[in-house]
Amino acid sequence: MSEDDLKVFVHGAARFFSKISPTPAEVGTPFLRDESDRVMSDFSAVIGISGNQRGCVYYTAPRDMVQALAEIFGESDLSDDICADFVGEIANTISGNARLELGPGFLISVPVVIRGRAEDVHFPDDAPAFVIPISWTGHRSTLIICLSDQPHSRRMAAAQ
Amino acid sequence: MKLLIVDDSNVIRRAIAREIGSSRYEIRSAGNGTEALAVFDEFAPEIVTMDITMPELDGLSCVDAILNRRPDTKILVISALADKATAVEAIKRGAQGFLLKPFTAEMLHTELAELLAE
Amino acid sequence: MRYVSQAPREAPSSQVWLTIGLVACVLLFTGALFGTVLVNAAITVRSQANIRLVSVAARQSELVQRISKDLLQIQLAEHTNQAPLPSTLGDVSDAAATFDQTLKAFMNGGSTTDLAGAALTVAPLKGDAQVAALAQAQNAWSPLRQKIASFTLVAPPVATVDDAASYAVANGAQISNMMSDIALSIERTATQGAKDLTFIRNLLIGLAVLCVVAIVGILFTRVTEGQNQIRVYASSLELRNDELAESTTALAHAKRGTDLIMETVRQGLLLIRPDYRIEAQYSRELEEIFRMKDLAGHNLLNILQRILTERMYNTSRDYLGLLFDAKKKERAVLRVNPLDEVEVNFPNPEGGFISKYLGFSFRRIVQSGEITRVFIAVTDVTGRVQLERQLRESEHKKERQFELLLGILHVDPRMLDEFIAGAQTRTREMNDALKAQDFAAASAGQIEKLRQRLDIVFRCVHNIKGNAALLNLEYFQKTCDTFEQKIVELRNRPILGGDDFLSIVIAESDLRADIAELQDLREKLTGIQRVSPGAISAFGAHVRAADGAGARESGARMPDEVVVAIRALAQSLAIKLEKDVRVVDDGFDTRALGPEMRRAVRDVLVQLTRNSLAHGVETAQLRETAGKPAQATILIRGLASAPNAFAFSFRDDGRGLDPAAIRKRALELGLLAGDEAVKADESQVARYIFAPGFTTSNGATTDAGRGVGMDVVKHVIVDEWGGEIGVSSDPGQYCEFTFSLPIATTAAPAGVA
Repeated sequence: MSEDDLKVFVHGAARFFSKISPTPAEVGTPFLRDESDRVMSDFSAVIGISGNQRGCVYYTAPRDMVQALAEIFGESDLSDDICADFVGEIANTISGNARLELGPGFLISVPVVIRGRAEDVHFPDDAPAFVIPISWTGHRSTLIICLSDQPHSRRMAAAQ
Repeated sequence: MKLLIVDDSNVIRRAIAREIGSSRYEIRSAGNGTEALAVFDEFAPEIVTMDITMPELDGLSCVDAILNRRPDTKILVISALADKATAVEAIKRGAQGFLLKPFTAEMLHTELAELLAE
Repeated sequence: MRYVSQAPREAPSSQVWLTIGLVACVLLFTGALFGTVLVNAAITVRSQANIRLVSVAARQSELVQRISKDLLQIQLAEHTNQAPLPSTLGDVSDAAATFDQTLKAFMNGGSTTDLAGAALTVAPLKGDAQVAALAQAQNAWSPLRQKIASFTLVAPPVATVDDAASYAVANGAQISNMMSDIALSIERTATQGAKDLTFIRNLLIGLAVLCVVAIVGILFTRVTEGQNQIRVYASSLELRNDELAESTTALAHAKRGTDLIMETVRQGLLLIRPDYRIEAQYSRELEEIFRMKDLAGHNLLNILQRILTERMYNTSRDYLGLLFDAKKKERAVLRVNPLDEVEVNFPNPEGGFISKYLGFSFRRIVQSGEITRVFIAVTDVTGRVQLERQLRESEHKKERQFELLLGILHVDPRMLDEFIAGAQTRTREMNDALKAQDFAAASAGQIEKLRQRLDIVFRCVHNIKGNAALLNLEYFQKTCDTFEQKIVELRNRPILGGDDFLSIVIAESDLRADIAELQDLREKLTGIQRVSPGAISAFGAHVRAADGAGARESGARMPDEVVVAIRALAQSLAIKLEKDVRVVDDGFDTRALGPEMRRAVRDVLVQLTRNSLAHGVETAQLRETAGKPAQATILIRGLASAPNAFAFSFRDDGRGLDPAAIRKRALELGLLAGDEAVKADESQVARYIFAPGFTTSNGATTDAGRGVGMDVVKHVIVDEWGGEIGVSSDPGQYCEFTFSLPIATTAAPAGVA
């Protein structure tokens, strides 16, 4: 996983906030997820990645933040369904950006919103999970990128 | 039978020439695409073995250029690229054979024999 | 189908002749019918013409009679002295003209008017009798014509009238009769002509009737023959039905067999047409493989597009094109199959992908020189590929581990454990620093916070690197070195954001992975150690014996392992830096300390040694020039201290601190303002060497020069252990650091090791 690849996802998330609100998102210092870290928040969405690298990208945000976002959109219904939709929308932006930037060697799935039991999310043992805090108007959401190189594609890349 | 070996590696050129050098073939070689075209024009070989990754003019462009000059030239593309897209591209452009490096002498002979049989 | 199509070729030739006869008859019949119609039409036309001719001839006799009657009227009128009616005079003149014209027409041909006043063209009469009769009529008529020629509208003289009238009376009847005869003669001729035509017509009708009879006959014959033929066909059909039934059974058998194969074969088998659509017959497994039902008619490319990366899809599209391109040799095309082992990804309804590996193989199906289909076999090779990959990875891991193993064989297992534990603590420390909740935007204050975070990470890495150097773990030294380079790069940036740290966490993750691997290896080594403890102790004993010189120098006791390690580190650095140094210990023993403090002391000594070798100790040549012994000495001394403290010193006889260089560097880093630098005395200046990022050396090397070493020392002694540091130096002579660490009351009493 290269720094540039990680940045694609981070910038995708940041782009969403700069598009919809005058307050840009702030990217915190990333860190590695430890076994005991509870990184998943109230609403989460997952994007599958395959191709040159394989794994998942999660975006997870607390309820109050998602509701604040919804209000910016003029949404009066702040139910869980609407909140889940909003998180899905952010994930869509991240996924779309990744499709654009990562190039033809990647396959990027349509995001799927995880309802409830987000803490059950299983992170693979063989790949590090990079946790990148993204704060917006004082709310803290998180991007978690968990990707591993494909030995096969790595060999191909080396050959090229 | 006139055969042109195009490869930027002197070692490979010599190895191929050594392996197939016999009364059957008259062999010339070139170290890059530009040189290959110059030799091709003068030498007019029936068969060309073509490396893909070369300085100046790359192998695929060279295949194009050669087939533009003489469409019946038989070209055996030899590449170290495990990239399958390149192999498909080579055949698409009109090369009649593809050989992945590293190859054995036997593989080279088989390829050339099949190329000539067609 | 094949049987039936052969049947007509066996038909007897009589059938053909019958057919030709039939066609001829039909043609003849049509011709006769058409002729009849024509003749009939001719008869009608001719009879109408004859009727007109006859009536015109008949009119002649009538005209003569009318002229006679009119002449008599005129004579009567003139004899009774009445003026003759002009109309009567005109009538005579007109009648005479008409008679004259008509007679001439009959004789010589020409036109006249019929009874209706329409023009009528008359052919000259040719019959001998008719010509004679006409001549006679002409002879009789001419005198009368002359006599009445002088008649005008004005009443003619009585004598003329009388003459004409008497002639008319005398000859009128004769002329009239002659003309009647001629009329009759014309009618006769006409009737004869009509009879001829009627005969022809009847002949044609007869022919037509004959044709009809013939057609019916032929048809009947044909039907009979046909019935015979049908009977023959029927029997052969029966035979063939039997054969067909047989072959249908065979076919059904074969189909059942094929179906069975298609149902059970553990391979996706399919045929695609040149438009890449899948044929109806494909194996059931294909649906499993593509995770899709009802594949018939689907475009294979569309299916591939959904499961391949764009790059792979483009290549596959090109490749299918090559498969159907007859100009490309199959052998060459099959050789470059890009799908022989390809990763595919199916969207997972729960998010992400389900990844599989498929192996495609292709064969062209050629019919009369054209590639009509391509046969494809698809196999799910996921299991095999994963196994291969695991093998490859474990192979790769083994190689790496072997290298690592070679790198750690010389290391005392306990030292290795300490290294691993220390490295883990440091990576945790750096990750915790990164985890800190406060956010960093590009605002001024935050950048400082981010830089501080960077400093912590650097210190941790540097610490690990130092310990790696202590154990001569070159692999880790290199990893840490790369890591440090990344940090330095960030530290030099004027603006820092959170995402700039991505390179840092990637390096951190790599480092962690290396440490985990080392730990894994270490655990395996423990196993080996248990199996043959003798070998390891012998090895350990050997190491210690080699360091025996130092032990003898400092007294009877075995030296502290920390000193042994520092001595080894100094030696290896000296070789690398082409310097000559010895490490002397004096009353220094950490064995009484708790393991954590012992590690802290060791970490400090490591940094000091590295710093000393890099900056303090000169080359042998320089030393001799300066009048010092070629071999430098590092002296590590245990110092007397309070009972609850541990004090020691580290001294080298190198070039000492250079206050001017420190001042300059402190100014550059903004640690000192210009006037402060002038005022600060040497002891104050010395403090700045502990600042993060401080170094006076140009260019970093793995061993020192990043200016972190002293930062680590200060962090460990002061920040972590609450200790104190003292520095004394004489430029060109020596540099000495003294340390004092408070010991927690639970520390083990001296002498227990």
